[in-house]
Amino acid sequence: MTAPIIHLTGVTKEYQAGRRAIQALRGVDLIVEPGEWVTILGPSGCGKSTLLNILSGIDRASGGSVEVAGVDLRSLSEEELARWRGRHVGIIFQFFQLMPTLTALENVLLPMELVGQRPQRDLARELLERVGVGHLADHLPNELSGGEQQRVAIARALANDPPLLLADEPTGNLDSASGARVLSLLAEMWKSGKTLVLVTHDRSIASCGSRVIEMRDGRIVADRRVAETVPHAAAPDVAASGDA
Amino acid sequence: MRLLLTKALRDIQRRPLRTLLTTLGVLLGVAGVVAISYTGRSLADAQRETYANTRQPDITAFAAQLSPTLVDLIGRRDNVVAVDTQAVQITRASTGDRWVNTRLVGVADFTNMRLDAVQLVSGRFPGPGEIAFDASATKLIDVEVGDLVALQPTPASPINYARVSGFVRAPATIDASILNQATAYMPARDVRQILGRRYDNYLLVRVAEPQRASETADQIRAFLDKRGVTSSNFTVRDPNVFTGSRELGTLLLLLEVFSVVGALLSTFLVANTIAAIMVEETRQVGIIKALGGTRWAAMRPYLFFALTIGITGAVLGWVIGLVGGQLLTGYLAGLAGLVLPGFSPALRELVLALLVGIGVTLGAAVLPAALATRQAVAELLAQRGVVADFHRGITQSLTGSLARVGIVATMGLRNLARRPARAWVTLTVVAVAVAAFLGTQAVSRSVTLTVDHLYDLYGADGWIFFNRPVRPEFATTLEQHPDVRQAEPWANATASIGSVRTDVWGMPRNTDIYTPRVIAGTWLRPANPTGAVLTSNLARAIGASVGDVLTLDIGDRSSLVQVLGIVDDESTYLGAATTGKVFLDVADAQRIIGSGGRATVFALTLQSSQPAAVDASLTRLEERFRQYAPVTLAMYQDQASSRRAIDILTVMLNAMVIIVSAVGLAGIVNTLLINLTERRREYGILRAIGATGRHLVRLVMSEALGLTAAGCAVGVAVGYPLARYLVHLTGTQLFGLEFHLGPVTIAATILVALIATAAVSTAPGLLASRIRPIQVLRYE
Ligand SMILES: Nc1ncnc2c1ncn2[C@@H]1O[C@H](COP(=O)(O)OP(=O)(O)O)[C@@H](O)[C@H]1O
Ligand SMILES: [Mg+2]
Repeated sequence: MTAPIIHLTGVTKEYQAGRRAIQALRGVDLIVEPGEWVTILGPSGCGKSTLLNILSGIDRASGGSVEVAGVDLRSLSEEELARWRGRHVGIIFQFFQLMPTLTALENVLLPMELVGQRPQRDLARELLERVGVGHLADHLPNELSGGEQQRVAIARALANDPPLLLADEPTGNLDSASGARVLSLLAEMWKSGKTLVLVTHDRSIASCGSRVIEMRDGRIVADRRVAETVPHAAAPDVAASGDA
Repeated sequence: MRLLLTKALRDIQRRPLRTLLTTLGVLLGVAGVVAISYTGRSLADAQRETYANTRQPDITAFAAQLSPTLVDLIGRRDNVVAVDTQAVQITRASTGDRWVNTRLVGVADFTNMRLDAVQLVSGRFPGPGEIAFDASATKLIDVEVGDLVALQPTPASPINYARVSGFVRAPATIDASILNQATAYMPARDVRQILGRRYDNYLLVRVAEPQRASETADQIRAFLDKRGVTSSNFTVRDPNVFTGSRELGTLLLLLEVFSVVGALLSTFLVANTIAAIMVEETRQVGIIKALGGTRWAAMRPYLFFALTIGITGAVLGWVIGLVGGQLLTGYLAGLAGLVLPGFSPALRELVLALLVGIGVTLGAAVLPAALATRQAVAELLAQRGVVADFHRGITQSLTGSLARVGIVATMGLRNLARRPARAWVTLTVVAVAVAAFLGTQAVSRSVTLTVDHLYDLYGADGWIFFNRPVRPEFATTLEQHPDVRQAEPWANATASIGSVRTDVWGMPRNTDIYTPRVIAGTWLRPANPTGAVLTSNLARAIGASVGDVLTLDIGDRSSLVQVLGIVDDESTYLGAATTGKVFLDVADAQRIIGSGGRATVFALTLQSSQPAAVDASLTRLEERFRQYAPVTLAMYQDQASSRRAIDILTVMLNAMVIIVSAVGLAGIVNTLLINLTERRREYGILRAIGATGRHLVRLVMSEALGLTAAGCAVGVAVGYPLARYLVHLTGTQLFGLEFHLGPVTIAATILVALIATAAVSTAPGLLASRIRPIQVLRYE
C-alpha cells in the first residue's frame, strides 16, 4: 500500500468575523489515496472551500493535523508553503484567475518560472494543445471565452506536473457545455494518474469521480465510493458548442 | 460639510501610507519654495542691516597721509556725513606653523568706531600690544585667546608680536577660509608703528545720498590731489553689489529654479494619488450619483481630501521651509560676513505656502475628479475597479521577446501600460528629477572645470617674490637652478580705473607662461601711449573697447594706457573685490608701478607640477636665494582656495537635488503603492500558484525599474538642454562658463537613479509579498 496523498485528522477552522467566531470546519478526518478523484459536495457555506484551501496551504487550519503529499503543512512557513505549492499542487479556481497581462502561453510558462525552472515553451504549447486551446496560445485572457480561460487555467495547473489537482467550483462560472468540456478534461488528467479533489455544490457533477464526500456545517456527513462514472463528451450540447 | 470632512478623514485613515507620502511630497515642495523665498528676503535684510548696524562706508580709499586736519576737512564736504580712518597693512600672521595671509586693521577706538564697526564675539577688544581676529580666521590659523601671534609682511622684514585678546566679527568680510586671508584688528597706534607711518592710511567715508557717492569720491580724490596727498584704490559701495552678492544671487536664482521644479513634482504626486482614489471609488461615485447627487456633490469629497492634504502640507512645509530658510540664511550670511538678521517670518511666505500647497493639490485633484465623475451612473456602477487591459500592440511586441527571459519581469513591465496616465505622470516625475540632477551636475562641473581651465592659462607652477631688489635678468639665474624649467619676470599690483578696482599683471610680451585668448584687438605690442590688454569682464565693467585710452591709478601714480586688445580670462571668484585684469608688458608695469626697473616677482615653471614636488622645489628656492628675502606662492594652493569658493555652490545645489530626488522617489513609491492596492488580487493569486515573496519583490521592482529607465531616457533628453540653459544662466551671473556634461556623468546619474529606485521599491515589494492568497480568494 502506498502512503495516502492527503491525510487530515481532526482539522478545525475558526474564523473571527468581528466579535463573532465562525466554525467553518468542525473536525474533519480525511484520507485520500493517490489516484483517487474525490468530489466534495455540499450547500454553500458548509466549509468546502475552506477545506480545499487548507489542502493547498492557502489557508491554515486552526486545529488538527494536515499532511499533504507527505508534508506536514502546518509546520511550513508562508514562503515554504508557496514553494511547496508550486511543485506539488495545481489549483483551478472558479474565476480562472489568469494573469491578465500574460498571453495564454505565458500564463502556462509562469509556474515553471516560479519554481525556478527554465520555462519550457514546447511543453507549455503541448499542454495548451492537450486542453484544446493550442490555437489560442498568443491570446490574452480577455480575448478568450470563459471556457477557454478555464482550460488555459487547467494547462497552467499542470505546468509543473503536480501529483495533486485541486479545483474549487471549476464549472461554477461556465455555461453547461463549457462546464462539461472542462469536466471531461479534468477526468482525462485524472486518468493520466493525477489525484483530483473537486469541490462543487452542483449535485449533477457529483456523479463524476471515484468518491463523493458530502459536507454540511463544517463536517463530513457522507463518504461513499461510486462506480467510476467518467463524464464523457457524449452530451450533444458539448459537440454543438464547437469546443474542439 | 461634516459628512464631507468625515469622508475625507476616513479616506486618510484608509490609505495612511499614501496620504503620508503625498503630504510629504507637498510638504517638500512647499518647504523648498518657502525656504528660497525666505532666504532671498532675509539676505536682502542681512545686507541692509549690515549696512545700517555696522555703519558700512560708502567710499573707501588708500591715502598716504590722513592727518586729523585733512580728515576734518573731508568731513565738512558736501554729501559727507561721517569720516573715519584706519591703519591697514596686508601682512602675514603665524602662531608657529605656517604663515597665513592677514589683513591687519588698526582702529583708534574700538568702543567708538564711527564706520565699519566690528562686533565682539568673545574675549575683549585689543589693547596696546594685543590683537583680535575675525572669528572665521580660526579656519585658517590655529589661534586662541592668550596666544602670541607673530606678524611679518614678508620673510625679510622684522617680526612683530601681539597677544590675542579676543575674537570679533568683521563686517561684510567674506569668510577667511574662502578668501584664504584672515582679518585681524589692533590698536591703530600699533599698526602705524609697524607701518612706520605717522598717520592712518585708509579712508572710510559715509555719505548722505548713496546715489551721489561716485561723484563725492571723485571730489575727495581731487581734493586730496590738490593737497598733494596721493590716494588710490577708491572704492564706491554699490548697495546692490556687496562682496559675494553676485555669487549669492546666482545661487538664489538656481535654487529658485529648483524650488519651482519641486513644486511641479508635488503637483504630479497629488494628481496621481487623487486619480488612483477616483479609480478605486468609481462605484461609490456611481452610488452617490444614483442617489441623486450632482456631479459636484460626487466630486466634493475628493477635492476636500486634496484640500486637507494641501493645507497640512502647506502649514508643515511653511514651518520647515522657514526653519530651513533661516539655517540657509545663517550659513550664507556667515560666509559673506553679513549680520544675521533675526528670525522674521513674513506674511509673504505663509501666503506663498498656502498658494503652492492648496493650489498644487486642488489644481492636481480637479482634473482626475472631474473626469471620474463625468461618466453615467450605469457605467460607474458596472466598473469593477481593476483594469486588466493593457495596450497590447506596442507593449507586447516590446516585451514579447523579453518574456523568454523572465515572465515575472515581463508582467512588471506590462503592468506599466495598464495605467498609461499614471505611468506617464510618474515617468515625468522621474524625468524631471533626472533632468534637474543633470542640470546641477552640469553647473557644478562646468564651474569647477572652467576654473581649472582658467588656471591652465597660467602655465606657472608658482611665483617667487623678492623683497630685496633684483634685476629682471635674474630670471636667467633662477633658470640655472635644477628645479626650475623656466622663469619670467612678472609684476603685480592692484589698480583703479575710475571707481573700478582691478589687478595689474606685468609679464614679458612674448611670455611662454601665460596663454592669452585674444577675443578682440591684439596681444601686447610696443605702443604709445603704453599698450594694455584687458580681460573681457573688466572691459565690460568700465565700458572700454580696443583703441580707448584709460587712466590707470596705481598707488599714488596715474598713467595713461591704450587698450590694445581684450582677452577672455574671467578668473574672478567668490569674494573677489577686484574686477578683471589689466595686462601690461613687464617693463611698462615696472615703470608705472614705480619699482625703478627692478623686478620683484618671477613666474616659474618647475620640473614637476605635483603639489609635493612644487612645495619641495619652492622651499629649496627660498633656501638658495635667501639673501634676496624671497617669498614663494604655489599655484596649486591658489587654485585650491578658488575651488573652495566653488564648492559652496556645489554643496547648495546638491542639497537642492536631494530634495528634488526625494520628491521623485516619493512619486515612484506612491505609484507603486497605488498599483499595489489595485492588484492585490493578482498578487494573491500569484502567491497561490507558487510565487514566493522574492518573486513579488522582483515583480514590483521590475515595474519600478521600467518606469525609471524610461524616465531616465526622457530625463536625459530634457536634461541636456536644461543643463545647457542652467550653465548659461550661471555664466551670465558669474563668469563665462564652458559647458561640461560628459557621458560618465550621465551614465552615473542613470545608475544612481536605478539603484535608488530599486532600493525604494523594495518597500512596496515587501508589502506585496505579504499579501496572503486567502485574503483575495475570500471574495470569490
Ligand atoms: N475569511 C473568513 N472570515 C470569516 N468567515 C469566513 C471566512 N472564510 C469563510 N468564512 C465562513 O466560513 C464558512 C465556510 O465558508 P466556505 O468554506 O467558503 O464555504 P463553501 O465553500 O462551502 O461555500 C462560511 O460560513 C463562511 O462565511
Ligand atoms: Mg466555496
